[in-house]
Amino acid sequence: MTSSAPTLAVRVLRMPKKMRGCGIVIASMVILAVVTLAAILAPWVAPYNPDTVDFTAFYAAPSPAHWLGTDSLGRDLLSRIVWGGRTALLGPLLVVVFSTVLGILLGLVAGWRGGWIDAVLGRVFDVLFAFPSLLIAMMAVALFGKGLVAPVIAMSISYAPFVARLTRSLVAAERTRPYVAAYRVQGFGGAWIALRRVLPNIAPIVGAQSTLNFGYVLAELAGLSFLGLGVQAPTADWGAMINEAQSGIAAGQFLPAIAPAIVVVLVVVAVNIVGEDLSDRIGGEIPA
Amino acid sequence: MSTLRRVAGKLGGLLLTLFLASLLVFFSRFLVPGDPIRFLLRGRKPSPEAIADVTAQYGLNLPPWEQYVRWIAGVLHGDFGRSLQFRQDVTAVLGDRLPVTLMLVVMAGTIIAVVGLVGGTIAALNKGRASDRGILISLTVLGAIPSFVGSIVLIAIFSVQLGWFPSFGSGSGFWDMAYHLVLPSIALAIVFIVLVGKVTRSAMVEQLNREHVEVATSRGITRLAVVRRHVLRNALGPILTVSGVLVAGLIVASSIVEQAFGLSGIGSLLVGSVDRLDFPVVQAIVLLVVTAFVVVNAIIDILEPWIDPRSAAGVGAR
Amino acid sequence: MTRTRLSRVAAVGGALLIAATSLTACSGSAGGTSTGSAGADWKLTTTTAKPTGDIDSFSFALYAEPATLDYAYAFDYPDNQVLANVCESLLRLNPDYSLSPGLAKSFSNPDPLTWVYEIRDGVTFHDGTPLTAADAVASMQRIMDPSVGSAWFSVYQNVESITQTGPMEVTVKTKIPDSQFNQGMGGSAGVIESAATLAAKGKDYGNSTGGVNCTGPFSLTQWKSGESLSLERYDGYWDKDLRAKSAKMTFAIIPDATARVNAMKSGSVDGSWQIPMESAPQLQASGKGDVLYAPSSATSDLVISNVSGPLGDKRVRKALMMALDRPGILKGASQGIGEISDVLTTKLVWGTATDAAKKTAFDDITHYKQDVAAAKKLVEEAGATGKELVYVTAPIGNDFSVVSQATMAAAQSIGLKLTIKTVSPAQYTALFSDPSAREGVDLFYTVWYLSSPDALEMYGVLRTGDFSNYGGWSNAEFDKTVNEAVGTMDPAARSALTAKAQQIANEELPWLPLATGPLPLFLGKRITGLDPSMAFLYYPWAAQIGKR
Repeated sequence: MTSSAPTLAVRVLRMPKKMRGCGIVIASMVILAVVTLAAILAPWVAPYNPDTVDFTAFYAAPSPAHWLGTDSLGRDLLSRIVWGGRTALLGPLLVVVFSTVLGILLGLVAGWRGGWIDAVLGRVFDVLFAFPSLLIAMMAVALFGKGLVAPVIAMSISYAPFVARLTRSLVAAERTRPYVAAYRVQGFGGAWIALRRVLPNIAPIVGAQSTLNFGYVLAELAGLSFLGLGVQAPTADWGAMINEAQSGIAAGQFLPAIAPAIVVVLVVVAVNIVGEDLSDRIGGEIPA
Repeated sequence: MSTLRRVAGKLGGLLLTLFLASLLVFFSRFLVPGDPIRFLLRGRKPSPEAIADVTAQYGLNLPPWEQYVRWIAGVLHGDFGRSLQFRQDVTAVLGDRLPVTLMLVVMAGTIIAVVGLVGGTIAALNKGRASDRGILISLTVLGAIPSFVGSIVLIAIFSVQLGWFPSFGSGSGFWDMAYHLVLPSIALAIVFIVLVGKVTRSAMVEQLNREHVEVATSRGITRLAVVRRHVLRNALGPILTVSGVLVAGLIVASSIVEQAFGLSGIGSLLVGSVDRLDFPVVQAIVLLVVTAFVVVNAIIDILEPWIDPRSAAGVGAR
Repeated sequence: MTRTRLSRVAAVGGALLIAATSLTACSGSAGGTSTGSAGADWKLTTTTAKPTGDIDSFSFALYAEPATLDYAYAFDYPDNQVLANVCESLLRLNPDYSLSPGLAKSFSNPDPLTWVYEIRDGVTFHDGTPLTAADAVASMQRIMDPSVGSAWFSVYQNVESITQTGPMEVTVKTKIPDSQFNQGMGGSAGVIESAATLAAKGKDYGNSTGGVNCTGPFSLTQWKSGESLSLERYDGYWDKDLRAKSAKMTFAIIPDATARVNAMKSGSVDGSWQIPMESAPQLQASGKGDVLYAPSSATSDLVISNVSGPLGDKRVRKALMMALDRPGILKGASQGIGEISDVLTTKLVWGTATDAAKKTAFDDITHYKQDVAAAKKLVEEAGATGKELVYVTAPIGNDFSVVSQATMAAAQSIGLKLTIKTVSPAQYTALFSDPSAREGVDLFYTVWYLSSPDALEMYGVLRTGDFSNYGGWSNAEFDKTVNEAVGTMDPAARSALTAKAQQIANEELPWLPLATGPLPLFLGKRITGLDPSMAFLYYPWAAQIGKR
């Protein structure tokens, strides 16, 4: 059998809070929209090319020419933050999408068929749970090299079991519902019922839970870039920028490091707020 | 006895998971296409000495299963092979760096536990009121501060600006090391506090609503005594469960903090070894982290019935 | 409803508040941190005041942990600057880059194919055992052993045999006349270690487990991997003139530049070699010590690592050279401290050359001026317009960023497409030893220093087929000149040939010379006594240091 069902602790953490506040959720969504749009439209939004070095303006203070000043190579900070959104947001997005798809498929199979498939998959998940996602990402980098590709694939595999477990529980519960039996009686095949009827019912719940992972993944991938193992300098990426800016801190040049750091925190908070609200609204009881 | 059977079952599960995990760690190398010697000696001069070393260490001329058996036999004897970057036994390399990471994780764990428990308890006792909301807000914000952000902010404010703490290195001697690790352990702890805080709060809220608490209170026992005697003990279970997840997470997250603060611990060794393509070291550290996680979880699993009697009665008993 | 909305507002507000606080906390100090450069006012320092007495201990900061203290593999700044104080070679390279007797009290060159070394009497290793010729033979033969894979093998490339020809005498026979072999005996290639220790430590010799057992003024007492190395004065040291003036010394490993600078500023370390140039002004202003500039044997160069690419055409190389804004690079990379160079060596390694040779080498050459228009024409002539180049760099220092951006700008200004590929410092190091790492790479930056007091060392490396001839450049006249020079034992005659080689290299540009600069170091106010020099890699500089 699979390992014990979610303990009280885990259920509590995932229990939808009965908080509903429209204003702040909208503010968070606005923040996210602004950041995302800026990243997508970077070539038009950013005032400068993020890689242009300006020998005459190292560590310039914020001014009308450079709203956030420049970094150690005279590159415009605001432009780098805008462009940085591309890699900083794309990675987590891919991880969430892949892990959700993979997790739903595996959870569907495990929950629907039960039996030995469920047992085997459960054991596989147990092993994967033992590997913190950052660790798997680093292992992938050690094997396949730096950049975003290896970590994204590795983290998708790492987060899939969480999605799979949830899906499995939901599917197992749904399987016993009357409407499923009704379909069977009418002669519809198991796979069809699972994919065309059960899946759409549970997908929103799973999806909402998945969006909460976006924030964690963003922080982890940015951390990986901060370590120099993910996105590589001189590419503008929030984590990589903070890595490059570290040496300036002792010289009193905080802005090149603090500005991207603030953006990271803001985006993570906003994502968490939106994600939690989404989970609340979609509702759904998470079975014991 | 059913206890014995349960424990034996848990241990069996632990061993199975460890075995499967070790397979994953060892055979991951085979995911890389091409010549294994070229992979292992990437970035290094493929001198005859190096090739011979690596071939002997990994048994590259043996079939895969035998290679694995040799490796795992070595591991069980404490032999993790030789580090390519240090030209030294991996065990020696790890041993030098373990103390710093251990102290860092212990200090961070203490901060997480204390702040989380206290915060969660106060919030639970004042549920619905201002202090509860204030604590929840703080927890949410803290949970959004990744350790690399926390590190540079702490360095900027407390090291560079105020000069209260050193910004690098781990000092020498026990107390000096503890002093050097104050900022790093805070940076490491920040993002995990929300975990313990929320679980504590919820567990205690649930406990406080229970009948036996109402009964006790109606009998005139002070709230504090009730909290101490009944609530805390019953809330301990879920808290410990969450703490299990923390261990592995802390060690891995320490990579980031150790890099930011220039600490020479296991975390920065991992990062450096990935960077310098020192695969034997990477394998050893991954295996150790996973083992720590599985073992701690198993211990907590085994001890759970004594901590939280309800779960002994069955899964999900409410 | 209202409550929950407020609480969420507060959550975001809280985050912003923390952000704002850190910003305002910071902006207070941001004023006045303009990198007021030292300008072009700097001078070379070759000596410091004599110490007033002994001190108990002092510390120096290293920017990286030594990869090894095994002389056969010690090939980098951190390794060698530590090793120089603990282990000694047959000959000693002095701060002025002259060679004098070391563990060999004398040497002779009876015929062009033979070198005879008389080993000094009364020298003991740190464990008390006496030094004999057998130890010398064992140490030297080890470098020649292919299974050891020594980084210094090339010094011994022409050696036929090494034999003990007396209780304190070693004879080396070479296959062809090789003037460079003896020059290399002042560096890591000539280190003598106890044969017994080599046998006993085996694979762990020179790492933090095995340590070393040498003859130098300090002995290695502790190596805390990742943290520090501790040295203690060896009271049985043979050279009374270089007896260590400090009872102990520590090397602190501080990879983070900021942390290192802070350590110096706060006085918690007493000095460091190769301080980041950007930090020189603040270190000088800190009042905790002096920033000194030592003569260097290093030049900053762009290595052309692919002669089958667009840079295989000499015209394209010349064009790139003429398009580079070298004064701008100098300013951006080292605050303007240093000089543009059109050759790959500095005057420091021409000590034994004739004045005529020096004039040929440094004056009778092409001095490349920046001329983008002419450069662009050359590129068009060569039919290379629009061709692509790959430039590899690493986040090692500010100079790396500056040079990479400047090279890209230069390439683009003459119609070439240059892509910058950033790798990690470890992968960058691999460029120098692993041919596969250089695949597809056209250019990379290096600061190349020489380990022997002979400029020929630089040009020997650029001969056809040499290990460090990274681009595979081949020029028959150059090879002929250099080989002849190698076989010329008389320094004066040799220098004339070396000068000719330098002229050819200046014309053909196998590598593009950018600039030379001094070696910056920081000397804390507690200490004095050392002779600042590039020789810090091989000369026991720490033994000179005492109380200021």
